[in-house]
Amino acid sequence: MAMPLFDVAAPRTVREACRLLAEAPEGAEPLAGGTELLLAIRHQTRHPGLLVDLANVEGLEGLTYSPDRGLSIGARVTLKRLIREASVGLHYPSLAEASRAMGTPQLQMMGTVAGNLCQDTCCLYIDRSAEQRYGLETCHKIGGHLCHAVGSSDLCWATYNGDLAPVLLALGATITVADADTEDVWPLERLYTLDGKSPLALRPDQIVTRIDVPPPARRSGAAYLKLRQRGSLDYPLLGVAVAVDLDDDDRCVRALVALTGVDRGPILIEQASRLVGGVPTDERIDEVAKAAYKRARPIKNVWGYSVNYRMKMVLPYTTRALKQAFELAARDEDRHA
Amino acid sequence: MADERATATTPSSRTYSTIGHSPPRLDAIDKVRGTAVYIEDIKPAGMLYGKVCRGRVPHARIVRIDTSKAEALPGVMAVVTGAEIPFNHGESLVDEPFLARDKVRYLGEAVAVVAAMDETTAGRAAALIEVEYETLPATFDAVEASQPGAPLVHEDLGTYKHAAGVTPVPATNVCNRFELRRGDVDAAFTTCDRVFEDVFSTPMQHHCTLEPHGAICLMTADGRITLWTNNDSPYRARRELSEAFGVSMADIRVITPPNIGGNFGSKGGLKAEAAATAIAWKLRGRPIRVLYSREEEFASAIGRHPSRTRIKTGVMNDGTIVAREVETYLDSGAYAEKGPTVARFCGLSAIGPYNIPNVRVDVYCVYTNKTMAGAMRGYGGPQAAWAYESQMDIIARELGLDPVELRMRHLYGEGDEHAAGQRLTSVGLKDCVQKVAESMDWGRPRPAGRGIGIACMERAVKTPFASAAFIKVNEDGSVDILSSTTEVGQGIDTALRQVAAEELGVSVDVVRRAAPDTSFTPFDASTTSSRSMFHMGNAVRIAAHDAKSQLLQIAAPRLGVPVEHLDIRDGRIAPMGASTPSLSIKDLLKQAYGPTGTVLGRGFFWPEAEEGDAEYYSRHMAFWLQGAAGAEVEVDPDTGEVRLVKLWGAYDVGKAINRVTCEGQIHGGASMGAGFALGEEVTFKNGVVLNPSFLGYRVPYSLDLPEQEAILVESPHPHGPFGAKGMAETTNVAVAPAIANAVADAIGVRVRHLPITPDKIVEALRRQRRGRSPDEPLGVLQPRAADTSQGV
Repeated sequence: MAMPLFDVAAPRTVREACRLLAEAPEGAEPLAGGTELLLAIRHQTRHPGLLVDLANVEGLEGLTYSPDRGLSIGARVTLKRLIREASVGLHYPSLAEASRAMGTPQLQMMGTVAGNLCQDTCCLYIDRSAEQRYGLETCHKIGGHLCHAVGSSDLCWATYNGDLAPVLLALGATITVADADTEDVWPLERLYTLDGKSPLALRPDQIVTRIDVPPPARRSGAAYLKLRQRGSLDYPLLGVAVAVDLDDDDRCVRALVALTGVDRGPILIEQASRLVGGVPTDERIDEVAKAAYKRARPIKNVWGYSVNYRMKMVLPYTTRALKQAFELAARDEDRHA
Repeated sequence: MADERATATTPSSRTYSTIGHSPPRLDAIDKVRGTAVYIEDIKPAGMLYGKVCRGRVPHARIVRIDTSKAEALPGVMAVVTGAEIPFNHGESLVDEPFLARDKVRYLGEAVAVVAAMDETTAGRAAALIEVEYETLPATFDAVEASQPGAPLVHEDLGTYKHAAGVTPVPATNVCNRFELRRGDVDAAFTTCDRVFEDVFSTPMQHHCTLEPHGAICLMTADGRITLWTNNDSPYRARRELSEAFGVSMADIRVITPPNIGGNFGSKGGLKAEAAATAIAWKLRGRPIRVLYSREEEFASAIGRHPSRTRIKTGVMNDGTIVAREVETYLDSGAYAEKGPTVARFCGLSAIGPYNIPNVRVDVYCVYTNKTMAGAMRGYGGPQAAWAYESQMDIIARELGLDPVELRMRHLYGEGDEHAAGQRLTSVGLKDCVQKVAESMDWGRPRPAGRGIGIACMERAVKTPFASAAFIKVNEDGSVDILSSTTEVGQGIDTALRQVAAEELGVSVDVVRRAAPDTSFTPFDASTTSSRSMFHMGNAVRIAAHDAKSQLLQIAAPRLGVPVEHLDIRDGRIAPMGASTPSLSIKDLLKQAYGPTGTVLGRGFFWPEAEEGDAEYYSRHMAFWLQGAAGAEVEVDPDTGEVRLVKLWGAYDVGKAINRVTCEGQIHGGASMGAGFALGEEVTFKNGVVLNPSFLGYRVPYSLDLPEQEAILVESPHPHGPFGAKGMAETTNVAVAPAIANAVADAIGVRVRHLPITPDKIVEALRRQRRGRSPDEPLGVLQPRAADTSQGV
């Protein structure tokens, strides 16, 4: 249970931070809120020799909204700030809702947006201290060759259960990824590998510096519904995020559905596009919900309800989220001006 | 002494100055300010840090332990292993080694302890200890483990010392067997109209005290022991150490901090104390602290016994219950801990608080290779009530009877004979049920998807056990209570201050209570079993009465009034009913403290059973805990998610000494009961605790709890202080079945295996839609597969 030793560096620029990450001989990790990373180090599931603290790095704190450019979120903006920022609640209600639904007020104060997007995959067999892993052989995730959850698997099936990723995927967000020399804009989807063992596509010397969310359409609606056992703290056993736009004739012109907690990364449901071009009828919504159900792959590796149940709940949760979003869009009258 | 008690416990007709009011708790102020002192705040000079090295397999012979790498680490002062401390401890069955010797019996058992200059070094050193194991076949299910041929967790069960009334079955895993018999059950089953038979189960629940177990032990070279511990019962800890080490009680001093951060039964027995004394046994002259981590709390302390119960009830068509048979298996884990007495209390109340003429109860407390179970709020009561109160509603629904009416017809009343043989007095059960029903507007139909449920309960208080107290009146008229009851958050400090103030005739503000210290505060059996208000309340009252008599004796000649005409009110001594000038205690003692010596009142309370009982534990209780809970729920028919709309609780407290504290107990108990009902479960796989954290273990938080209504029923107890009885362990017991009954009322689905999670409800609804019984399959009382993981 003792905290392993590590060095801490406190760079002032992104370039310097990325160089430190690139050069660390014993591996380095960027430190933002630390709510996940410090626990993982204590649990000895991650072993960085160096933490590159981003607290003093310039340019990671901004949070701005404009009707034509949308929302720009600095990597170190905390969840609490997203919850408190009026423009977020007004223009991106599902983003505020997902932040409120996360952890506890203490974790929201410390946890950051980029940190949440870069959350590691979870598995109840390893998310515990080294002492408490005794009796469980070392698995794929931490350097072994077996999976406790899917007995015969050659792969790691650790579950991704970040709350913000599906919401920002549905909202069409992009991220800015930097290394010591370059800056690149990625669609958020590109960040996720769907590999339980290494769920992020970032190189060790790359960090996310900014998240951009396009401005909402005039008649837009979004929702995030989270299946959980308790009203606070729990990770989603299933999270469904949707974002839809309507035209003036109540026809759907854009629909995105993303899930979390039911695979090794957040997943976009392609069939949501079938809603586009028509009025969102119950049949069409049901069709998308069924497609989401087919795509979900919950594994018996998170604390909580049965796999069968988490799978089944994709149907009502997706249906309800879509209906909620369409209702919001239908009521939407120039909030975003 | 008999005379003193008679005087002290005569119910007074006068209005009380502080009894029944709610003076603020002094500890609350400390807690809010962050100045309350807990075990972690105590740091004797030169203190070292201990860390436990724990076993990594559920059942194995220890072949070899190599501590050389740990000992070589700079900063490590000593390492101790089981072979060096060949002693056992245990509450009523002495089966647990201070550190594992020869073999480990559960994953996470203490194998060695390291003492180091700092905590980090101790932790590193513990991880460097190498233990070679020879794996043994393990058993993880209580029913399976009770069968012949199961791997034996304790080969030497037959040789262990145990208390009278505990009946281990040698050469098996059954560490206690409890029986209750009344009438002729078999005959009644053949003549009754209907027989209902169900199987119910409950998982391991965890106490989740905010403060983990902690102890600091200092042992001198000549074997004198000082132990600071957050143990709930300093005198019992002293006796266990004295018996284990063969050290005189006078050479053992047990001190508890002024505050203990939650107990609920978890802090009895020796946990961190065993590890701290083991290392202090080896390394003399240095205080050494062992503080459990949260994971150790979950995996290596104790929880509530997982249970499986078969309950069979014979009923006439008009609803009259004529016979009940109960068979319960309690999973004790690797050691007995308090399991034998939990089994006893579970069995005593297994049929529910009902007049049933024919009764057969068998409870088995069974060893398995899992984390230990022990005492937890309700002490076997929640497991029993889950079965009998769920089945009461099954019976009522099947026979078309109102669940409240069916209960009211059978509940014990004043003077009824308990199934265990005692003539009952101070029985507020029917009042409790009625008040809950009225308050929840029982007859009012609820909208679709909503349902209401009610359940009631009883539980024994451990009897007969003693409590003693001293009351010291200081030179300035202030008062110290010396008592070894521990303040574990339940508010006993304030309640005892109220008792002393009322009896003595002083303001509660001038009364303080010292923290327990076996060198100074007098004997108390334990702060357990909801016994403190009744037992220690009596002892404090008797001591205060004694102190008051001494004060009046000193005052009488000075006031020139005969002692029998004097009384004390608001800290002033005056002739009763007269307008003669009064004298404050402060002024009196200013004059008299020198010549008359100190004023020290003595109180001792021992409940006298109605009839002699040779057993260590009587079947005649000092009092019975009684009450009822109600629940209203809303169930989402698509997702099976249950929302608690409101909870009610009415409990017979005899007399509320401190109303706010009593209501707080009801709120806390409801939260614990709601967690047991809807989500809490320690899950295991091959002996590994799968959820040893607050993230994985779903104890409810504030957002998960609904509005609550706390109702205090007062049926004064003839022997209680001001009529008070205990109440802490009434408050959670009936909550889970009340919620289950409400869920069944809402959607017609009966969950028999706790917790009531939405996946089980959705599955039951699916069965219902397919025209099958919506109830969970009856199940049979058969061993389950070795892998007991659930709900993962």
